[in-house]
Amino acid sequence: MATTTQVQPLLRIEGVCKVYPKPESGGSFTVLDDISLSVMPGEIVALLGRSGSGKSTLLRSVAGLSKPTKGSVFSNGVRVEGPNADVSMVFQSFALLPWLNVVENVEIGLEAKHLPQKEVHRRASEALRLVGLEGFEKAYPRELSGGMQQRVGFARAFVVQPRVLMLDEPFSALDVLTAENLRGEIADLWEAGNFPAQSVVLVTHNIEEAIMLADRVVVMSSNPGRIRGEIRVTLGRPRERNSNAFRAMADHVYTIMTNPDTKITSLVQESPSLVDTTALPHARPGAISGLLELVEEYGGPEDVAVISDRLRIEADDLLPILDAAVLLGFATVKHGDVTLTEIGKTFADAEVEQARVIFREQALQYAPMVRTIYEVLSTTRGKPIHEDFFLDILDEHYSDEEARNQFETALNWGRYAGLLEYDSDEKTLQTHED
Amino acid sequence: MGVHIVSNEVPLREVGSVLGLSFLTFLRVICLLIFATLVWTPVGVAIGFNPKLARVAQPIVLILASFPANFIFPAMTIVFIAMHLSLNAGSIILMILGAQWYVLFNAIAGAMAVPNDLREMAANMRLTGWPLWRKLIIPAIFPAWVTGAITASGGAWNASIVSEVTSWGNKTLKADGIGAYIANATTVGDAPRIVLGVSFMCIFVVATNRLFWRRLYALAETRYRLG
Repeated sequence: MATTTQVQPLLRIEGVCKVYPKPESGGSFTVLDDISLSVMPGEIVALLGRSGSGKSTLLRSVAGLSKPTKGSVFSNGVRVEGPNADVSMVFQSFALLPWLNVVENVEIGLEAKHLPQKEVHRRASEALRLVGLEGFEKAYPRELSGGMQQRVGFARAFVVQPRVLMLDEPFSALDVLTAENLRGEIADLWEAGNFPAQSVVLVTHNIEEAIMLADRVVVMSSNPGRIRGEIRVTLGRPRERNSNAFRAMADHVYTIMTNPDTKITSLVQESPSLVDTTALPHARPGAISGLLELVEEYGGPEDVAVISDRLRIEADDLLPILDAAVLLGFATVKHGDVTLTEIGKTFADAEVEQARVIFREQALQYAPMVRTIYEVLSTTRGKPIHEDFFLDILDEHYSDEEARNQFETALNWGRYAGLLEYDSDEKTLQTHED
Repeated sequence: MGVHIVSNEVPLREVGSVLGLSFLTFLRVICLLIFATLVWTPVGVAIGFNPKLARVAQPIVLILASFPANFIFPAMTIVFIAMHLSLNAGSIILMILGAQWYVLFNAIAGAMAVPNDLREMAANMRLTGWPLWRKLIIPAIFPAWVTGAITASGGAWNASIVSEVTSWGNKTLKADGIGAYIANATTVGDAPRIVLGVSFMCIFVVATNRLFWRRLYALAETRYRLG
């Protein structure tokens, strides 16, 4: 079962404030106000905020380049007092030394490690291979495009194999296509599982970039910089910018960013799961109906074991059907005896069309996944939505196989209830029009 | 015409000794540059990297640079006499007094111009001490150092004329050098020797500019240019 040993955060920021004096007026202004945040191993955290939110200052406090006025930063359990050896940074401006060639720039990262020259070369080549710069070792930064210069920046950070990689707006000095390309490659590296850092902190003002890369988006407010809240990005990887789930997530974050007064906590609960993913028992509506008819036929509480025996099906196969009947309010189970409810009896006796209406009512009320899928589809005014949108959401909570099963069940119920239509060629869903 | 006057009035073998004197002054200029670089570059960088300190220090350095150093030459002469220090060495100190501030001033300006992200990068990569100087500071302030060193050496050649001959009361100290040669010729109104001395000084200054400084400048402009 769940282990009791807790994973230690790689970074722990506790009540960090940064106040700068104003030389002219003698006053002061607060850049960071009481920031607390942890970064766990294996996650990408995005600090999302507009200018003035102090997100870069926060990054520098963590890197030990800027001393907080109040509060402290712990890196791997040790208080940060100077340049933090656990992190390496990638800068917006690349920060390459123009008098050093590519490989020399990368090797800068290893200077402080005092490794044998051979090892230095080996690691630098490995880092350059990772960012696709093999063959450019002897080139000088000015000979390279912006995108390639930033690749050098990444290689220099990778070569140290830091615990945490800190990205300070790493793509915002690049043109859109180059940025998109490099961002995608970094995401690929992360997803491939051999990323040269355990965790990543990304500072950005770009909503899509945050959603593309991060597991958690920490939203910061401006003047003074505070943490407004955080949004878990529950999309599967690799992320598709054009998927509906991605778009919905981006819209959600965009709404938060454009409404500085919105409380994020409430929004987090409503969404990102547009679809309630509470598990459904895997039972076909026909099987539910059949079971209810059988119990009705015998005219009274029936023992589960007896039903199982009579139907010649294993209890393991019967139970989901029973669970579904209970979930939908058609039956109750007490001490192993199954009893139909009033609505259950009506349903068992009803004609096909009436049964459908009853099932619809019950499903909308008691099967939240069916209801929320129907609600999502209702907002598109009849426009179909690809099944991947829903599968993406379910993927966050279930294995691929179980997500598929859950989806099939919800789809079965929704179709039987006359709520949903499914186009198996296009693999799209839409609401059922009478 | 100048060559004609000189060749008629000055024995040819004196031209050789003027060459030697120029070379002695040249050595003094080199000493000055080495001293000013080793002492004032680290100080300038320390000041330039600290904005608060730089705000206070920069005007002070400007005042020091504009203060006419030869005001204190007589006082220094007393010290040299008391210490029995030959002006051959002492003149280097006098030249330094006037010219060192250019190196300091440019070191401060050069350090202040180092982009913050490069310094942050170096700190993040935990570069300190000599590796930090070798990889970042020296290359980054190199163009500023070249400017400072050119200005300082130009000033030092000029200053040699007042530094290689000094007096306090009836005591006069004299060093061997092109500065002293020109100063003497000027004192006695020996026009051909003035022309010869100044010509040699010009040749040395122009030659070092062409052969040395201009190359460093080109290097600074291409390889060590920031931004």
